[in-house]
Amino acid sequence: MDEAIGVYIHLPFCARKCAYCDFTSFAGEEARIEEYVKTVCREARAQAALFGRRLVATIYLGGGTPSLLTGAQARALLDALRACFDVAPDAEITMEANPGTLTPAKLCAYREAGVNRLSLGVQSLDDGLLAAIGRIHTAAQAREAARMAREAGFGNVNLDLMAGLPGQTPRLWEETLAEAASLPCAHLSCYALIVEEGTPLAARVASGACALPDEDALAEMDEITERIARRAGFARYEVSNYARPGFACRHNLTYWECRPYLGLGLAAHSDMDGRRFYNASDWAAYARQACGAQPREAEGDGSAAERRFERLMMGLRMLRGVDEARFHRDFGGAVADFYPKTVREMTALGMLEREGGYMRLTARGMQVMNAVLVAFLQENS
Amino acid sequence: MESERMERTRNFCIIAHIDHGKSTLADRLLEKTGVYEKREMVEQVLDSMELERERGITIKSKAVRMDYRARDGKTYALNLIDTPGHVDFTYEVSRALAACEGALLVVDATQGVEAQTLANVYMALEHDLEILPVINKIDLPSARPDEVRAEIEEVIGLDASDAPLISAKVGLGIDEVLERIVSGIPAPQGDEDAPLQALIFDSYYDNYRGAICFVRVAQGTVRPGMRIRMMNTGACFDVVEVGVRSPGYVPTQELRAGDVGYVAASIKDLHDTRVGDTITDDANPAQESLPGYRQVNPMVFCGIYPADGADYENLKDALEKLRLNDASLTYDPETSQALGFGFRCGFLGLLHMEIIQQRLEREFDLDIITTAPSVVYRVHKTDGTVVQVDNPSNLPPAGTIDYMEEPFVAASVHTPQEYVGALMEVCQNKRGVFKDMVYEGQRVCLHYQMPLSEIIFDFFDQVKSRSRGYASYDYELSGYQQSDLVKLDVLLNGEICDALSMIVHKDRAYPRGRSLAEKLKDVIPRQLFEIPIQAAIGGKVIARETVKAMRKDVLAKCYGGDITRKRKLLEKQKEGKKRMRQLGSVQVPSEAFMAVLKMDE
Repeated sequence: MDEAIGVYIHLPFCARKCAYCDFTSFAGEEARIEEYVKTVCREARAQAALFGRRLVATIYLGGGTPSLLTGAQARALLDALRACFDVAPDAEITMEANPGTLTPAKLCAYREAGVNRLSLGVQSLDDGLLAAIGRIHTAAQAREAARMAREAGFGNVNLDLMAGLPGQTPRLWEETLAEAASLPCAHLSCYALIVEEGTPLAARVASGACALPDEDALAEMDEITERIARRAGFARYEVSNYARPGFACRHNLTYWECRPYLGLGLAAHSDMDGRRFYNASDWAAYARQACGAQPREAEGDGSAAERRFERLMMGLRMLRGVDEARFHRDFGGAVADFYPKTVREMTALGMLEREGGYMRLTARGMQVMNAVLVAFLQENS
Repeated sequence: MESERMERTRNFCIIAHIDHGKSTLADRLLEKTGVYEKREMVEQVLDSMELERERGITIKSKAVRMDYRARDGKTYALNLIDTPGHVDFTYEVSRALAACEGALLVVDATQGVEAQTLANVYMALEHDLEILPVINKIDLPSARPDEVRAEIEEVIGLDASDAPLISAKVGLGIDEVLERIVSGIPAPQGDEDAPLQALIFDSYYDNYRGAICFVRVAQGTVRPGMRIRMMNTGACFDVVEVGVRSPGYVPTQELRAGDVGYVAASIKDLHDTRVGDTITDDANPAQESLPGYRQVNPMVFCGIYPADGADYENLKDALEKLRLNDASLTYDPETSQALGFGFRCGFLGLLHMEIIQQRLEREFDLDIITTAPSVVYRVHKTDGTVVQVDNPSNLPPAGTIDYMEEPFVAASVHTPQEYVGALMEVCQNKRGVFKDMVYEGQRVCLHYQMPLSEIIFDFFDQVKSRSRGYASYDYELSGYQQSDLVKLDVLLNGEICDALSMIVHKDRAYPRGRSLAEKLKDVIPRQLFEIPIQAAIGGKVIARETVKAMRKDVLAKCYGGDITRKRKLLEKQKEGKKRMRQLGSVQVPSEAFMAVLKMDE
């Protein structure tokens, strides 16, 4: 039987671009939404015809700002998926939402359409920082959004937060996090800011107009995150993700476990049955791809060595680590067979450990994961 | 007895402070006399090596012949001999000057007389050259030719009343300069029928013709077919071709007394054509060689290693090729525990070393690691034997050493008066022993006896920074003296890194050890664990720093669409590590091995 898949739908619309964002998303294109939704529905049907009526375990509406969609548009998308795929009755269906775009009515409509998990882009509860990074909402709106979500019946709410913003001190981070953890939510994503090339933020950093916290401050913020989240009942399960028991994001686990996923929409990436491909990031080309008139770009499916490494790169992000039996089954050998030196040295250095059939990073190894991964790459790539 | 030919020959060079326009003037002279057509002119022909042009210095000397029809209606052969402009090549400069009768002294009309101007003038006077001042850059709004003229007279004591006012850049006054060369520089003298004596002032390796000598014939005649002898090395060769460069090789029937030109004699090895040697006729040799010959020995040594061990053979080939053209470069294989297989290379000085490093990187596309430069120490052992040590790792065990000697130089620092105090402090900090101080008009020349090892560290930078660029210096080796020296080792994570060891004066060991440890702390990136850096003498640790363990290195976000991109990011990080050397458990970037050079004590 085919493995269950995760479906990602990209909604590349924003009221405004944030200073740090390098995702494919456009401000001022709301007029296209209606047509776009139809195109995505068409694409879903075409892909179902190609890959079969697969069991869908999770759906993720990401962006962009998916909450610019009306309830009806969200329903149309989910109905299309349910029509051509086997969406599991207990499927996790997440929608990303900007606190500045929500109303109680909209939230109810999303829920009725089938969305059962809401990911709120809170980022910070400090108005100064929010403005500095170009968010369209205030801290008060974020608090209000979390409250509205609960009223609308969302029991599985994630709050996205960013650490390491320009001018943010460990104390400011602690205040945001402590308050966020007390809001009604079951999941916290705490991302350290990545300054992506070509963003307005990168230009500001390069010109010296704003200063980022240094490595030591970031490490301190990490410790604060661990401590506050744990006290509030959230357990870390991935580099940047914390959840109350039973609320880990199943869709994202699909990526970290390197299981198949189908991406729909502009610029969306897929990894289906060992093949990787992605959609165009301009409207017209994407529209042609969606109806089968133009082939998609192949991303490069990855050599055995690359796939092997990616299994570690993704799997070691999870606290649980990499499933060793599954690794052995998929690659015909244990991790230590392919990387004897790195496994030995990193274990000796206290970076890597094995437990209960999983190979995982220690707490220390998790802090310096890139260096550990580069050691794996150096040994066998 | 002066022949008509000699009457119409002028041999001269151009001397100037850096940036005063020496190369530009040379270009204008060549252009004006038709040696180069204007449109064919590559800017500043004499500085043909890319590196030379970049640094605005001339490394090797060359000679070019120009035919100039003067206002008296006669045509003169003007031989321009270019001179290297750096203290590492002082000896080569002295040989080039010995080939001339006169020198054009270029002085910038906006800057006036500078320290280097003086140093050059004194060197030219030592060779009894007629010095003709030329005031350049008069097209600039800030030009003050009258003041500069007065300055030349006051400070240098040269008559500058008829010094041409020119702008080499825009080509103003060039005819005037050519006329002055004809009228002001004495014609050469020499008996063309006497036994041959020709001074080699430069040599060059040509892939087709072998080593070619640039010579000034002092007396006698040299022609193809003649069997010549190098008077100092004794080697003999048969002359294949003689001629002049103008600008290509132009063969002539012979070179006679007073002439400047080249001699090709199928010489396979450049080391047989030593600068300063005298060429004579093997069948009718001169009684004695021309004065001033000196065997040039490398003074500074460092290890050069391929960054990637697989490049060892390529590095060897490259050094071999460079040595073909550079008689003062030496290299011998050596091994380092830290760096593997490489070469111990010898240079005339630091600039020479840097030039070779850069040529290896640019012309041969090699990724190399260079260790800190060292001088040659003489180690007197308790058993009475003496060993020469040019690599700190080869220093015999302390218990077997009776005493050690290091090379000293006589250094002259030329400076405007206001920087005397600061520069004396620099010299004293460099273990210099004050000899005397000579006033040269507004300028002062400080003479110090100083260890060469101190000069090769940051002496140049310090002299320049403490005098706002106004001071300059030169030095010559004055011999070996006993010194209280110790070997300073560096331990990374508890293990000695041989490539970082150095020999230092005992009184300097503590500050240098501390500064080295600090510097290494800055260049060694944080790694998975804490790395102690220790500087030690014998078994005794004198300084300690710590590279803290890396605290955070993780990609915050990684989801479906990111996988390939993030993998490539890590692959890039992996590539970056190729520039690192694995020393035991520690990864050390190649810059670390040069860190010792950039220390502030």
